[in-house]
Amino acid sequence: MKIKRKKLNHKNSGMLFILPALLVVASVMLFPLVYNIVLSFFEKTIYSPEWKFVGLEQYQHLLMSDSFLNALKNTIVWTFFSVLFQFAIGFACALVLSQDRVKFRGVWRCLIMLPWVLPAVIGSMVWKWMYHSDFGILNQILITAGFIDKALPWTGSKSLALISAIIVNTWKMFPLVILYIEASLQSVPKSLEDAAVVDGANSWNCFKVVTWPHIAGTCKTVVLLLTIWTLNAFTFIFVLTGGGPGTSSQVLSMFIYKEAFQNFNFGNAATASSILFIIVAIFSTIYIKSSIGGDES
Amino acid sequence: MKAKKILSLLLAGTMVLGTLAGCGAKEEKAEGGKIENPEEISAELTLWDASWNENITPGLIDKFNEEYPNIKVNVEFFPIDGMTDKYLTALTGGSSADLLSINNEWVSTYATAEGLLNLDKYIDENNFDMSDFYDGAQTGVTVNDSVYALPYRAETHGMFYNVDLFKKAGYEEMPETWEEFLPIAQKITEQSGGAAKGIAIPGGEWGNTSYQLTNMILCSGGSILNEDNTKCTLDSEEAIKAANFFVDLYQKHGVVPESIMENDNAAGRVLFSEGKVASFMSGAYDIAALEELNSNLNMGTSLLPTFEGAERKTIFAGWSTAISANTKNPDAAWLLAEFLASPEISVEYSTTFSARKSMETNEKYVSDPLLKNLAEAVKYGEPLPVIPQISQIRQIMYEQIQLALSGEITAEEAMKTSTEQINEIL
Repeated sequence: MKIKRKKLNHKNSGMLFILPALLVVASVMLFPLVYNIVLSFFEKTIYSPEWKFVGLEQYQHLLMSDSFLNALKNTIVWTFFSVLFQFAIGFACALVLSQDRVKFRGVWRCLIMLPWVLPAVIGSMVWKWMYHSDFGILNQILITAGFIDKALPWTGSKSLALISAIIVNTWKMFPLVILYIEASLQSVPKSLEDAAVVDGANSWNCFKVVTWPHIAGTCKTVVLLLTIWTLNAFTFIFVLTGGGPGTSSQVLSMFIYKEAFQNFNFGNAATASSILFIIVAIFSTIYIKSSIGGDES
Repeated sequence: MKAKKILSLLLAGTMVLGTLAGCGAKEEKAEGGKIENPEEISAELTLWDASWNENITPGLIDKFNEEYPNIKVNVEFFPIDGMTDKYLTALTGGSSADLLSINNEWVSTYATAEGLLNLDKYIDENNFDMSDFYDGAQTGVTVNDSVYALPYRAETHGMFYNVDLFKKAGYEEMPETWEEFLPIAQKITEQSGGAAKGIAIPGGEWGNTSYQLTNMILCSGGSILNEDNTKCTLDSEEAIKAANFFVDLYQKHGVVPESIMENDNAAGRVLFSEGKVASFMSGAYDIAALEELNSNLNMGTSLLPTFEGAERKTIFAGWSTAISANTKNPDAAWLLAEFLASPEISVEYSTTFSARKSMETNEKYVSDPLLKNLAEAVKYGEPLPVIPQISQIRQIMYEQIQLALSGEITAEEAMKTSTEQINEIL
């Protein structure tokens, strides 16, 4: 008994320290998660007091319904292009900003960080008005510059609605990419770069051989994080288009919101949430595996 | 081993929480009845109110306390965004205030979810007279023949029009019918070379788009559902005619701004205040906002036009005070709800019009020509079907009419598809 207690003190005392935090996590994250997964096997609306067990029926029904598949398709497009542009623009900016010849780097950094600092709802509202074809500044600029001759209904047309939201999401998140990449660029030893230059490497080779191996890990992490966040993102589409016109910009998070809080079909919403959870979990697992793997190596 | 321990700890925590959550939900629900010696009741109540009442309610509570000094009332104000979600969650979770000021459209949802106190016993045993409320208000708060809230505010849509633009086109006022309205809208659009359009319609806002479409359908003699709310009637001749007209205003006649699909009511208001549209549908709540946007605006209000030969009907909207099913002080709560719904108080409480017929000609309304016409419109109001699926129905109509407005499908197809989808959920 005594031995056992001693063992607990030594080996597991750490557990005691993290216990409060674990309990908080359990109550605000694990409980809703388990609740949601259980709920997804039941038919439950706000009007029916009892839970009716239906097994996988709701999954089957959702995976065959046009509106869900449309939301799934939109989610893929939304996530792929958002992450692509966020990363590409952020990466390019980081490379430029890390050059010594760039003057006033502090000022540029501050200015570029602004979109990220602004709350998403406010940013989206401002964009909604900028997009507007009667009052919006964007159309006016494009018309004055001669790119278009008639105002475009950015958030109001089937073909442009999702693109408009992707632009806002990109605008909002690319500063974060800069932050990550610039930080990791600073870990590239100057001496290695100098050595490469002395050996006659041009800037592309220098980047490929010296810089890239140092920042590749960070890039992978950033892309995974952006993917996870974008899959879950709700604010931009909710504020800008509400999923419309029709359902042309409806992503999964919007679909779930409407099922739960407009149709009050909690069972169905839980099923859709579980599917989204599985998708996000796949990316999260890759992320966790790669980041733990990175630590060990 | 470690992972197992952590997991078991987490699960234990989850279970404890689950039990706690379960305990909260089950409570004795009040029934109500005759109130003896109301002035002796002592209680503390909380009222959840809308943010626009922030300057009004405290004064009314003072008056209430002159009559009932032992009932202390705490008022909390909430913005309209997310309000219904918050109230619904609180009501079903048993954590709501004793009284809630709610939109009549939410009554059926809240009542069906068993969040509201059935007021029938209070009404019967205290001889409370419901007949002075507008019919639309009475229907709006009645679910399965039981009353769940006491109305205080009522309104419906009217037309706002730009008097100067109308005069320039040779017209004095808003016509009686949509058929007469169309040439006016066309003339104004033409005369200005498109700088001013005939009418603003919101095509990008769930609430107002479905509302205004419904207004058109009602004043052509159509309806969303049949009388007993069992079947969708959007595929009727009248409803299709109205939907066609609604879509054609933009698609065929071009008398609606190009930005229609991006517009909500606020955008319509701004366009109207800048003279970029000659008219738009709205309620009395927009008068102050318009005067603030452009104090030189020469505007008029009128009843909504109807289609030739059809009876005048527009959507009745209103607000009422409901009592939570979980309140500990139902008697005191009833007294406050009754007080807020009383004739003179409801005039003060409502930022638009009183829900009482006897107040239609109240000095506050008839003294202002803009208000007077809109006050008259209230009696033509008919509430949306009082069924819990109503927001889902409006979502379906909204998505379909958006497709028609963007030219993907015809208005007739939109109404037929809506009918199929709505019948499925009924």
